[in-house]
Amino acid sequence: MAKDLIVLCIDTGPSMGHITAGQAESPLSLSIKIATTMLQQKIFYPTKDEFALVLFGTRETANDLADDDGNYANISIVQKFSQPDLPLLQYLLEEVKHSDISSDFIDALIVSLDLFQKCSGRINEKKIYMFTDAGCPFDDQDQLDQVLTGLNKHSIDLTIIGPDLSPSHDSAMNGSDYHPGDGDNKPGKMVHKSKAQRAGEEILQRIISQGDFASFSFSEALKALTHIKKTQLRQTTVFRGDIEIGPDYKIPTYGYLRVKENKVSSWKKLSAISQCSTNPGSMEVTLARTHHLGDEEQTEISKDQMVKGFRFGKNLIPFASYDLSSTAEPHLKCLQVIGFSRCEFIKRHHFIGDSIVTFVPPVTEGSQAFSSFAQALYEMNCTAIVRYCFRKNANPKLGCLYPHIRPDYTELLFFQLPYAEDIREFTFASLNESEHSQEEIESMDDFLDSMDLSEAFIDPTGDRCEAFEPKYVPNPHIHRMFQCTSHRALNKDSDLPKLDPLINDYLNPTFPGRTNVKNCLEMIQNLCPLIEIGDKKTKKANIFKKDIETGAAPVSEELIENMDIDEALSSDVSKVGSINPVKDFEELSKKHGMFRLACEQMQECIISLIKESFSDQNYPKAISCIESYREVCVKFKQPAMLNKFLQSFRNKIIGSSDNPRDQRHQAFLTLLVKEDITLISKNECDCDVTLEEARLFLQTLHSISTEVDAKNETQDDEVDDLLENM
Amino acid sequence: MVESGSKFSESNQRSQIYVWTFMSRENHSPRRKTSHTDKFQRKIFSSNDSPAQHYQPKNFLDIFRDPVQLEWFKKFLISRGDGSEYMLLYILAVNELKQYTLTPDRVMNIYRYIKTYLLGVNSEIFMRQRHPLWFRIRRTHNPPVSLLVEGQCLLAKILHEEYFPLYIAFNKEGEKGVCSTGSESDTRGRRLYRWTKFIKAVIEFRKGLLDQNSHTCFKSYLLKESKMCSNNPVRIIGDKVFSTNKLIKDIEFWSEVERYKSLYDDNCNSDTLYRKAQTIVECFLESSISPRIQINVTPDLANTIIQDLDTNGATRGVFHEAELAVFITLMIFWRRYEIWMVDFDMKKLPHLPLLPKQTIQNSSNKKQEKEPIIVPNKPTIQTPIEKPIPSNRRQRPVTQGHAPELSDLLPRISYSLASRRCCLLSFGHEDIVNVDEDEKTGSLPDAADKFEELLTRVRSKDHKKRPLQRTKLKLHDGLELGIGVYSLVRPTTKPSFKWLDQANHQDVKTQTKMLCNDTGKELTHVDIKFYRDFGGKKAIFEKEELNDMKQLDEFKGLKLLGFKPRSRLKLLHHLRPSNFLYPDESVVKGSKKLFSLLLSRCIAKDLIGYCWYQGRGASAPRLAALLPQTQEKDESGIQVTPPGFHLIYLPFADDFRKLRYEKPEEATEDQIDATKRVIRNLLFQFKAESFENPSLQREYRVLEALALDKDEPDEFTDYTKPNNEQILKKAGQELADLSKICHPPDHQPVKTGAKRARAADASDPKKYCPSGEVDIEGMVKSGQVEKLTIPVLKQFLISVGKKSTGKKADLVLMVKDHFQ
Repeated sequence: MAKDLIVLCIDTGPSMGHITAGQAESPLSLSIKIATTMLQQKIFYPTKDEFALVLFGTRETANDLADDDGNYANISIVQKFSQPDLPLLQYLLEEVKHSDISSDFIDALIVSLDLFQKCSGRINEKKIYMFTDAGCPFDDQDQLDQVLTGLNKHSIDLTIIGPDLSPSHDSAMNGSDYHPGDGDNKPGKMVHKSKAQRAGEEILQRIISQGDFASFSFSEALKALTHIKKTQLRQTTVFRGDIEIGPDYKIPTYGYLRVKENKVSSWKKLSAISQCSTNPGSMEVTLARTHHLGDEEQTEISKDQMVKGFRFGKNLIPFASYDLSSTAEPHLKCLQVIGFSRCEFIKRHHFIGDSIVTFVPPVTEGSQAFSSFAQALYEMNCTAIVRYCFRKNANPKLGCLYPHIRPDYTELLFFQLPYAEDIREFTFASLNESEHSQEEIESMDDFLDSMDLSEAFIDPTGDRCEAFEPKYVPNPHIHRMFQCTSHRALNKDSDLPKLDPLINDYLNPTFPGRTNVKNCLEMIQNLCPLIEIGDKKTKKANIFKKDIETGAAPVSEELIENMDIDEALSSDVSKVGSINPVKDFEELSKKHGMFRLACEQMQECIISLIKESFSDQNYPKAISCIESYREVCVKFKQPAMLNKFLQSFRNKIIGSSDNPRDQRHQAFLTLLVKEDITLISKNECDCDVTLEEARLFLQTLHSISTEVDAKNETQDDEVDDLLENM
Repeated sequence: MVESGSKFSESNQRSQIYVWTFMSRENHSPRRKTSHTDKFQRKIFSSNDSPAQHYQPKNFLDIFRDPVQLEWFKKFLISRGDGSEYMLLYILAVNELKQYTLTPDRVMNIYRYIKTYLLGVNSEIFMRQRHPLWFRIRRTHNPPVSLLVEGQCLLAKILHEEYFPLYIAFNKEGEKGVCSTGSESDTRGRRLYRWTKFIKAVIEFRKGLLDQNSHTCFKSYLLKESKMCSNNPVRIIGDKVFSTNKLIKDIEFWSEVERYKSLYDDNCNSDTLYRKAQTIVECFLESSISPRIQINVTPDLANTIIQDLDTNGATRGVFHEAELAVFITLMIFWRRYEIWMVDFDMKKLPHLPLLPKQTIQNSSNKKQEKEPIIVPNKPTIQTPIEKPIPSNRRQRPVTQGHAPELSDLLPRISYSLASRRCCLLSFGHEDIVNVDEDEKTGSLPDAADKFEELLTRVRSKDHKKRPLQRTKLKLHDGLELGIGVYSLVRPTTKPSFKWLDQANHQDVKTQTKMLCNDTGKELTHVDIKFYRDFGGKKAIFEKEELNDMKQLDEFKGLKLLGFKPRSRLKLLHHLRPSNFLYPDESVVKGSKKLFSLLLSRCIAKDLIGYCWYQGRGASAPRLAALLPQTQEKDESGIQVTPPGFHLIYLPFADDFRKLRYEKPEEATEDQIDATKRVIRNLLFQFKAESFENPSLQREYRVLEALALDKDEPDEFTDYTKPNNEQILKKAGQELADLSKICHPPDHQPVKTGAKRARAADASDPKKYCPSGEVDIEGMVKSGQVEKLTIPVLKQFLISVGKKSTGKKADLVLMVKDHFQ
């Protein structure tokens, strides 16, 4: 695997240690911070990349080019190219101090260049990161061209971090306070630039412009490194083959992974026993897996004596792998189009795979077939339904190819779609989405508006832009892991560091623009009251916990005997059911704000009890319901609830029509009269129904019921007669 | 979600099992009917009048009170063929249950009947009422009587309101008796057809047995059958295990019982009857000759009959259960016999003397003659294992430890149904029909209309609706909704397996020990820490610290960040299968209302929510989008898409791969148009439900073939394979045009790395020197033969006519041998 070679070239001259007014840190400490972050990230995602560290402006001189004449003095190569490790990191953090000696940065560049001479192996990229504030003197400008040719010859990428070399540099020189890219925007910083610095910057500017190199200020560099990024993997294909439409038409293509969850390598186990011992060795843990029969001796058997047993119903079917391979025809590698479907038939939530594969033409020449295919799909708003098998005998995947056309590339994105087995058709109750009052709708709309994210983020330049665009959101868990690992490696036995504020900002964002939310919330809370139900488990656990804590007498046996499991479980009544309506109703009505609901449900329950009654089977239950209902209404001083209900009672049960089938429940009215259930009158509760009216109601009911009774009697007589005739 | 096991359905068995369920139902009801009819026929005859003309019942209650009317009404319901008679049977059963003098056995029986009514095929008549009560009864094991009585009331109401007027009208038409044909809808007609077909078969069978000639023929057929498999007498059909050796006895027993019944009906004196019954018992159920039970009934049943006879004396129905038991097996063979009769001409039958009409005594003598029947007395656990497996098959006994009774296996193959609609029709599976509070969509599917779908079952895993997690959705501080997170699409994995011992298929327990390399000690979980290599050093953490690293926020659940227009959800924003959110009132009461408000407004404003989701346990937070979905129903009122939010997991910055590729050559208008024509011709409406997973289905079928001892796994059509014929038919011309226009480069198949490497090898001149140019002999002499490559060596060996197999060292040896 090819590797990158990176030289970190850090200026430790006197000006680097100087803290300019208004800055919290010296340029050197900033440089070190940046360099260590770079190293830490490389260490966290291990690569083959190698780092070298060159310091210039040191007291010592340690490089191969130095001679006794004082050439290349005060430049030391701390570390030649090697994979970054903890000692290097620690050296950077602890040993690098600024000195009072300046050294030429061009000399330092030459020393760095020289390092590349001696490296071998497959090399991908060569980079030099130079950290300097250009405060050091330089003498021979002649070497500059030498440096540039050297850089170009070896195709080395130079990045200079430190000085402000942005195009607006000139205006800054002219006294303007504006420093783009420097987030601090501290006025008057430039004033402190020495003459030497300006001259140095000029030279650097020349290098950059001539070699087409990049430069960043310290703050820019720090910002760029805040998110740990995985080093890009080499671009490798996951599929090389043809898109087949029909047996003969084939479009050659390469497939690459486009989106896939980035996973860091898993944690390794370590033996704490070994760690505690005085002389810890490798501390490694091995897993010993043994297989045993269920007999008395626990006979151990080897893996080749075992066979897989698959469940079939409740039986286990021994199933050797040859059983399948002997009968099956192999799945061939393919990307075959089954047909085409319009995009609207493909549901977004049906995307099922754990990655997105992109397909592009392998070569640019002769790729019209590919681009016409993608273009046609795009224009017709269609997708190709394909069978995709990335290698022989892989499980074939069903999926669709979406065209994705951008100005600089065209690709087909493959999304895996579910098979019939993968779809679970669950039914969920309707939510009555349309039954909301205007008020509710308005307050929710306000809430939605105030929670807008599409313009919630304010970037440094003051523009509003989209917040939480996935492309820019770091994975907080990986970031946290990185933070903790590097912290623990550098500080053994310390506690976990505090959560990086940057990550916290992502997890608990504050949006200064959201002012209206509070009001909307209150509105919504009033309109849709929410009652939190405690965790049942903890509630039960607490019953005993409380006793222990307060030292209460142990639960008496009698109490335990009388404890009703059903009762204990059914304390959360949410509906008046038909099994035990009286109890349900009483429970429910006690709850805050549920009275009206409870009443409505009780009414329904009573009616249905009567209506569904087979002859007079349910009547006693219904009567007890009405009694309970009446009682509660009096208690809550809501007589109207009952009175209204009773007044409309007759119509509800019997109906206005003279349909004889509906007449049969008139007997219930008689029963009602017999039980002496009246309207709630003035005497009992505050309302405008007089005692007289309450009685009158009873009388009317009575008259109706007797009328019906009479009718029934005649019928009964007839039946008796008939029976006698038999 | 861990499912206890995967269940398959099986198409060939399907029809058979269907028949069985049908038959067993049939076998419950006729008995009730016969006993009733007998009683009532007498009544009717004594009154000498048709009850319909007797008087007009005023309501259903009248009918119910009058046994005569009741019988007629029942007949009327049966004639309707829509299963409505089960409502009446249910009412009767519950009525019986209300009596307190019942024996516990009887109570259990009644419960079983009720379950049959509610869960059996006829359950549609109940379910069609869409009353929550039925679902409740179905769900509760041994429902309380009060609940059943409620159901009774409901049914009585229906019978009164719907069927009573029809009954009256029917009687008024002056038709005496009950007409068995009705002009019902198609479904009813089909059911009726099945019924009549079945009943006809039964009648024919009875007729056949009573006829002397066919009786003898059938008997000889059975004799042949039992001889044919005399070394393997145990057979399993449907849910019955029986021995073919007992078939002959079965038919004898059956005819003896028939005779006994006719004796009873002829008002024979009770002594004779009892003697007759006793002889039957002695001959067939408690024989002094081994085996004790000579017919295919279970020992339990035999004992019950013997006891029954002792206590109750010779009643008419004393042998009823046993008769039924043998009847089923005989019925199966009767069908086979019929087929056999068609296939083989009667004359080809080996001539069998007409057996003299046997008395019971000499039939018992005969038993001694054909003694070599070695059949296990009970269908014990060992039976299927002892059962010899045909020699051409590898021996694959079913494991002992796991209920090896194949007899158990067959009826238990759970048919899980692809569609919810079918679920309501499926029988014997309480779990499937499970209509929760959560599921009342306002209308339940009309089960009767979907009868046909019963036959369109698929092999698939059955998933229970169960939230992955009940958690909270925090809209903002102080506003938290209760929600359930569900999984609506998830790749179904291959069936899980257990390791078994190869020799005798016992469970194998796997033990994992953690050993410390330095000290060799066995480690417990407490002794384990975790590390990650960091620049050559170990960064060591405790287990708890690892969890802390994931728990970045105290709040667990979904935390809403805000809303964006739906268009911000890009195609690339996909990471893993989505989940589904639905309010859960058991976490926060009132959630439903607010949730539905949120949902409806999000849909109206075309917004999606963004949130952090920290799942259960130590799962790391993920960014996810909330995609609203409104409820949709199809034309028959069945919910197609449920209302709620889809939880679309979003990738993080690191999850996007940065790729570099060139822009392809642009296509011309002509090329695009040609492609469009192809696409237009090959358009179809994609439905995810129409493709089955080929590799999974293959595995299911192989497994099934192994389990049921089939020679070949069932055929399976892989619809994911493009139908090239169809494609050419529809767009052959267009495709040809397209390939002309687009000039796709000559199809050199894109080579994979491995292939290229091999191709390079082949063309390497060093390794491919023809043997003619190499002086093998010289090389052998100079000791350089090892330097030759395998192909050269092989080629040489072939040229001298020697075997050219083995490793290189072998080849070299052989070459050397050749020259020595």
